[in-house]
Amino acid sequence: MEYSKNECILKIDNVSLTLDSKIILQNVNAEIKNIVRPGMTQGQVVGFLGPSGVGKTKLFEIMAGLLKPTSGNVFVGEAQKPVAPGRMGVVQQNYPLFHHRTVMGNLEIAAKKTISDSQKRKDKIFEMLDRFHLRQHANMYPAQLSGGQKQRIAIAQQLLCSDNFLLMDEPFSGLDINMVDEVSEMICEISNAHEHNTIIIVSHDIVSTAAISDTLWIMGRDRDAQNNIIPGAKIKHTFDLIERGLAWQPDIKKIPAFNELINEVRDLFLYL
Amino acid sequence: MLTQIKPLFIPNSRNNRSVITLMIVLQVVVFLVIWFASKSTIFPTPVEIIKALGRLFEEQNLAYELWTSTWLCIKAMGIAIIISLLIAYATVIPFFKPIGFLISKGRFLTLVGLSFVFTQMTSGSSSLKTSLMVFGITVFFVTAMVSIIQSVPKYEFYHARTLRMNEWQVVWEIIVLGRLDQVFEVIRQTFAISWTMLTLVEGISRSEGGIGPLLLNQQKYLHLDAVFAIQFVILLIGILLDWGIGQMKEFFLPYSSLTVEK
Repeated sequence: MEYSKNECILKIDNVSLTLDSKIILQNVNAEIKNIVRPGMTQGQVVGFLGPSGVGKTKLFEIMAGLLKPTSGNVFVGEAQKPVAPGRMGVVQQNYPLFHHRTVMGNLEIAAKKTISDSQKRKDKIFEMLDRFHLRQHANMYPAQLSGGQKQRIAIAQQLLCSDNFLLMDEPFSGLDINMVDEVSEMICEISNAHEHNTIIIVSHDIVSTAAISDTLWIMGRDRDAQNNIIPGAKIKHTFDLIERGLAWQPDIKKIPAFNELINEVRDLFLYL
Repeated sequence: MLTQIKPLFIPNSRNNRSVITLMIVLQVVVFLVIWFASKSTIFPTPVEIIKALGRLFEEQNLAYELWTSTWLCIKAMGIAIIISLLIAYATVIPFFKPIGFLISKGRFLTLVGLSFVFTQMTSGSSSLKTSLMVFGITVFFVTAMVSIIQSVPKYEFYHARTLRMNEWQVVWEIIVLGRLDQVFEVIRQTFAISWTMLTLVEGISRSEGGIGPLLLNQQKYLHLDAVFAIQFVILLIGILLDWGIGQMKEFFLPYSSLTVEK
């Protein structure tokens, strides 16, 4: 499989976070490079895993520009500018939408930030609605939609105003097997829609996340000689799934090496 | 039949419309039977109340007094809504937070105790009554609105910020537009409070009439049938206006009832 990893498009640079004298994150470092595959558009999907309460959400908020770290910073894009709210699309676990606006209104308010021409904006919104099979729901309110439909609207809303980055918090949470497959397919489709599209998935679902990722970040904390946890989480392990031949495979869950990878990650969780 | 009645006694159960209507009619009938049958000297009979109501309309100009009071209440409510919303929305700015907090604590003060201060500050009976009503409504309105604003979850702010909104736009979208349905609920609740306040305020300054002085006069001469007749009218108008506010909410904010289990 021919590919190359080119310029850095996201860099987490020595990020530390202390809240109320409690060390949450300590010197977190990671980066995402633009993956290039000749003859095709290839985006990036990074799976971000870790035990509950380790600090994933806090790093998620820092990456989104919503929380300022105590030290360090996150740089995004080819120009490596410090992240600011709105540059990264964020799809939270409960898919928040403006309940007082219709689907169209929700998309309109997001598109207004990036497209000033009203006709172009309308065209873009309808393109999004068609892409996510939601045109017939355009005039409905969020309360009238199913969980899956809300998730798609939330994604469309973020895609309309972010810079190629999408952070997704627990996108598989509470979904049945069919829906997990559908969401996985959608994530791959979004990532491959533009060379720089980068999706970071924060999840507890190791299998579903690893199946669509090209990179896995495992967050955890160090332990001392007595096996006590040392405060301050960091990305302790990075798995390059392309190198292992476990990325971009349609029937990946049937490959024995994939199951070995899942077991390897699960074993790591015992000591994080 | 039993299977249709049984759900009426099960928590959170859904019942069909005809069963609910039948249940309400039965409850009203039972209430009326108890009322008619009671030999209480305190509670006049429904017939006595209806007769008193006729007298009040003919001899005491009840319709005009009712209009005077309703207009006072609506006027005070309108002014209080504007003042309260401005104060409540301003609490998103740290500088104004203590002011909102202080005003909300004003609900523990009595209007009777404040009447002298307001008399000195205002000119004439009408402005005195209006200011007392506005004060009485505002302290409750601000309390409810500040509580609503304080309980907006963090993720809603995050959501707005991820859409590149500045903090003013966040406030407009999340606090102002996003909570309009709750503003209507607060209006409904404080309107009920203001309606009960009305007779008290009109009692403080009786020169312009209104339903308050009328009620107090009837009470003074122990015309219990007339007192109950006035109370009945107050209740009816209150329910009607409350229903009106509810209808306005559904009309202007159709999304507000979509998540309610009916």
